[in-house]
Amino acid sequence: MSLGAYLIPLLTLLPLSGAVLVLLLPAQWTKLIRALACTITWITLMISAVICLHYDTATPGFQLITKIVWLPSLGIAYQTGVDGISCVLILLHAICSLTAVLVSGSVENRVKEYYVLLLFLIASIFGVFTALDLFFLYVFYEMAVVPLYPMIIVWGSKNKEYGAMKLTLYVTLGAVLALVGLLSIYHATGLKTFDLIEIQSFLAAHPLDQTFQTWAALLLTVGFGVVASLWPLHSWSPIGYAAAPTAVSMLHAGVLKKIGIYAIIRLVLGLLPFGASVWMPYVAILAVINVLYGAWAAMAQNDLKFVIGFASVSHMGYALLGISAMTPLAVSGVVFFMFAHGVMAALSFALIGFIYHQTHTRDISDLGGLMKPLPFVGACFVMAALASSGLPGFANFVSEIIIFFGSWQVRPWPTLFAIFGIVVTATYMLRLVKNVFFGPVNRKWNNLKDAASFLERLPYGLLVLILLIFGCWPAWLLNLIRPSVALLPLLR
Amino acid sequence: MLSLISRSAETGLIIVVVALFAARLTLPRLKSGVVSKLVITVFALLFLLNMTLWGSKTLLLQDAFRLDHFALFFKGFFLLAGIFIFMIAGHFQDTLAKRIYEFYSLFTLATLGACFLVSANNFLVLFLSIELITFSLYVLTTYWRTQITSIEAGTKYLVVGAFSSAMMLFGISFIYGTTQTINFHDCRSAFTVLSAQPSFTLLHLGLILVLAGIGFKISAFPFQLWAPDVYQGAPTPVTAFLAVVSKSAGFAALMRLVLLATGGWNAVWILMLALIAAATLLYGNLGAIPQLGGNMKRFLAFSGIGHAGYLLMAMICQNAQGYQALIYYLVVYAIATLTIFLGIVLTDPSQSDMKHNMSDFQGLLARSPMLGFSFFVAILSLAGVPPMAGFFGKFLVIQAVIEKGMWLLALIGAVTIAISLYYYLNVIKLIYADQPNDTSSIKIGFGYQLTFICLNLSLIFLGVFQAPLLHLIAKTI
Repeated sequence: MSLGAYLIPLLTLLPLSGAVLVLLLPAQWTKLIRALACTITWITLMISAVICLHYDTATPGFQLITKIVWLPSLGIAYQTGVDGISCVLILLHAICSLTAVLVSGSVENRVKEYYVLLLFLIASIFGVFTALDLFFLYVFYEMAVVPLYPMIIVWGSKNKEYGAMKLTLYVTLGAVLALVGLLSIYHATGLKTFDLIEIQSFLAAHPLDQTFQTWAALLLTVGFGVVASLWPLHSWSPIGYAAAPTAVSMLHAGVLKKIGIYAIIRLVLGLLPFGASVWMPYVAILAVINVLYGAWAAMAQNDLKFVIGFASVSHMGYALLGISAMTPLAVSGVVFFMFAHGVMAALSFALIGFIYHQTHTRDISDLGGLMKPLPFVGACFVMAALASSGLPGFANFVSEIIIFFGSWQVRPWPTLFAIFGIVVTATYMLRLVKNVFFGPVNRKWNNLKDAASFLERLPYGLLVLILLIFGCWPAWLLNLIRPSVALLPLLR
Repeated sequence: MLSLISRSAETGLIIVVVALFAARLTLPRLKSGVVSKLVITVFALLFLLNMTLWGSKTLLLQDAFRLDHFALFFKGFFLLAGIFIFMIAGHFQDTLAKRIYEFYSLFTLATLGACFLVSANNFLVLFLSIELITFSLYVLTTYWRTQITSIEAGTKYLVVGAFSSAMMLFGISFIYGTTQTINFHDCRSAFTVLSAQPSFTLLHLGLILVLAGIGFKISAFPFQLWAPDVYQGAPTPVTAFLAVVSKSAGFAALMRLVLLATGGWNAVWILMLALIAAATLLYGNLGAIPQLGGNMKRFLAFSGIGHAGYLLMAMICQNAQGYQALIYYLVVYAIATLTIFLGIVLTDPSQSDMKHNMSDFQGLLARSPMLGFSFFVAILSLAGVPPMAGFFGKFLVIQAVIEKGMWLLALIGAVTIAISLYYYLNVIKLIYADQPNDTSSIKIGFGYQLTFICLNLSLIFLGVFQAPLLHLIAKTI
C-alpha cells in the first residue's frame, strides 16, 4: 500500500476533525473559525488535485485502497479508494467546498454552529465519494442529508421551514428505500460482506436472479433518483434551494445531487445490469420530462433562485438521459457533465447569494440594470448563464455533446427532445440576464458594491476559470473517466 | 449456590428495600438528597457485584431461577437505568420530601421485579415478577396525589394492567392444563410435539393470552391505548421507568419465552406478529405527528410505541441476528430516552407546572447549550440518523428482517423512519431555531452536566464503534 492511499481517508477525516475542533472553540473567535475552515478546504482541494494527478489511468480499477476492519461479524470495513469516476467527483466537491467556505464570509449570526455543520457536511460528502463499502457509503450519505435541515432553518430565507422539511423528508425517504435495496443485495450475494470491490467482482461472475435484479434495481433507482431530482420526485429541489443559505445551495445543487447519479452508476449499472436494462427505458422518458418540464417551469419563475433551481432539475435530465442510454460514451459524458454542471451550479448560486446579500431581494421584476453597479459579478453571471445554455467553450457544452452522442444510438427520440431543451434553456437564461443585468437601471441599485478585493473575487473567478479550462481542454478529465467507465458492465 | 444467590442483584435489592423501610422508621428526618445519593451509590455497587457473576450459567431454586449471560446482562442494564431514573427522581425531592422513602423503595421493588423477570425459568416466576413490577407502578403512577392527571394515569394503568395480568394468568392456566407443567423447559418439549399437529389447541390459546399480557407491557398494537395517557400523567421519573425498564423487561420476557418455552414459531404465528409489528409501527409513528405542539411526554409515548414496532420487527426474525438487533436497539433506545427525560425535568427547574408542554422547550439551545445539545443528540439517535447509535439499531433490525425475506415489513420499517423524521425534526427545530418564550438561562449542576456528557458520548461512541457492544450482546444469546 502506497503512502498516497492514506490521503483518501484524510479527505473525510480532516473536515470532520475540523468540525469537532470548531465545536470546542469559543463562539467569539469567529476570525479563527473562518480561517480554519478556509485552510481545511484549501488542503482538501490540494489533496484532491494530487489524487487526480496520481491516479494511474493505465490500470483503471480502484486505486489507493485502504481498508480498516470495522465490524467483521457483519462484513463491514471502512474501505476507501478511488477510480476515475470518483476522482472527478472528489475534485468537484473540493472545488465547491472551498468556494462555499469563501462565500460564507457574509454569514453573521451563530457563526460557530454554521461552520461546524458546514464542515460536517463537507466531510460526509467526501465520505460518500471515497467509500468502497456499501455500509459506509450509505452512512455518509445519510450524514450528509441531516445537517442540511438545521442549516436551512437557521440561516435560510423565504419559506425556509417548509423548504427544509420538504427537502430532508424527500431525500431521506429516497435514502431508506435505497437502504432496503442495498441490504437486499448484501443478502442476495451470500458473501456476508459490504465490500464493494468484492461484491462487484462476484456479481460480474455470478449475476443475480433476474426477478431479484428487477426489484432491487427499482428500489435503488427510485431511492437515489429522488436526490438526483428525477421527475416526479423533484419538487423538493427548487423550494429547498430557494430556502437554503448560499453555501448549502452551492453544495447541494453542485455536489449532493450528483450523489444520486453516482450511486445509480455504481450500484444499479455496475451491480445489477439486467435490472438496469429493465428500468432504463422508463428513466429515459422521465429524463426528457425532467429536461422539458424543468425548463418550462424555470421560464415562469420570478425568483432568481427558483429559476436556477428549476434549471438544475432540467439539467439533471441530461445526466439521467445519459445513464439511461447505458453506453460507455454516454456514461462518460454523464460523469463529465456532473463535474461541469456542479461547478456551474455552484457558481450560479454563489452569485445569486452575492446579489441577495446586497439587495435583499431576488425578485427578477425588482432587479434590473445591475451590470452598471456590479460589473464583475455581472460578467461572471453572464458566463454562468452561457455555460448553462451550453455555449461552446464551456465544459458544459462538451459534456452535453458527449451525452447526446452516446445516447443517440440507443434512445434517439428522447435525445431529440432533450436537445430541444437546450433551446428553451437558452431562452430563459438569456431573458434572465437581460432582466437582471441589463435594461433600465433601477435607481435603488446605484449604490451597490461590487466584489472588489482579491479574496472577494476569488471564488467566482476560480469557478469561471475552471469552466473555461475544462471547456477548452476536456481531454484530461475524460482520460480519467473513460477507462473506469469502460469497466462497468454496459452496452457495447 | 449460596455465594451465587448472595451476589445476585435480587438479594441486594431486597436488602435495599428493607433498609429503606427501616430508615423510614428510625431516621424519618434524613435529608432527601442524602437518601437519593445513597441509593444511587448502592445501585452502582450492585451493578459491579452483578458483573462479578459474569460467566456463571446455572439453574437455582428447583429450576425456577435461571442465571446466565442473558439474565446478567439485563440485570446490569436495569440497575444502570435505575441509577439514571433516580437522578431524574432526584429533581423531585422537594415535592416528595415527606414520602421520599416510599418513593425510592417502590422504585427498588419494581427494579427487583424486572431482575426476577429476566431470570424466570417457569411461568409462575414470570407472572409473579411481572406483577411485582406492575403493582409498584400502580402506586408510583399516582404519586402526585394533588395532580388530577396523575390520578387519572394511575387509574387507567391499574384497570388496564389488572386486565392484562388476568389475561396472562388465564393463559398460563391453559398452558398448565395442557402440559401439566409450568417449567419452561418441559413446556418446550410439549410445544414441539404439539406443533407437529396443525390444529389449534388450548395450548395455542394459552400462548396467545400470555403474549397479549406481555403486549400490554411493551405497548404493542392493539394493547397500546393506555400508554399516552399514563405517560403524560405519571410523574416524569415514573414515565421514564415505564418507557425504559418496563418496556425492556417486557421484551426480555418475550425473548425468554420464545427461546426457552416455545422453541420457535411457525408461519401463522410469524404472520400474526408481523401484522402486529407493522400496525404498531404505523400507529406510533403516525400518531406522534398530531402531538406536535402538545405535551412532550405524550409525544414521547407515541414515539415509544413506534420504537416498540421496530423491536417487534427484530423479535420476529427469531434468530441470533434478530435478537442481537433487538438488544442493541433496546440499549440505544434506553440511553436516548433517559437523556430526554433527564432533560425534561431539568428544563423546568422551578417545577412550577409539571405539564412539560412542547412550547417550554422553545429555543432550549440558547437557554442552556448543554441541554440543547443533549436533546439534539438524543432526538437524532431516536430518529435513526448516523453517526448516532440509533441509526445502527435500525440498520441491524432492517438487515435482520431482510435476511428473513420479509420484504414488505422491511419496507414499512424503512418508510416509517422517514415518517418519524418529520416529527423528530420538528422537535429539533423547536429546540434549535425557535425563539424562547422565557429567555432566562437554565443552570445545571456539575453532576448533571457530567451525566449528560457521558450519555451523549455513549450515543455517539456506540454509533461509530458498534463492535464492542455487539460482541457483548452476542455472548448473551
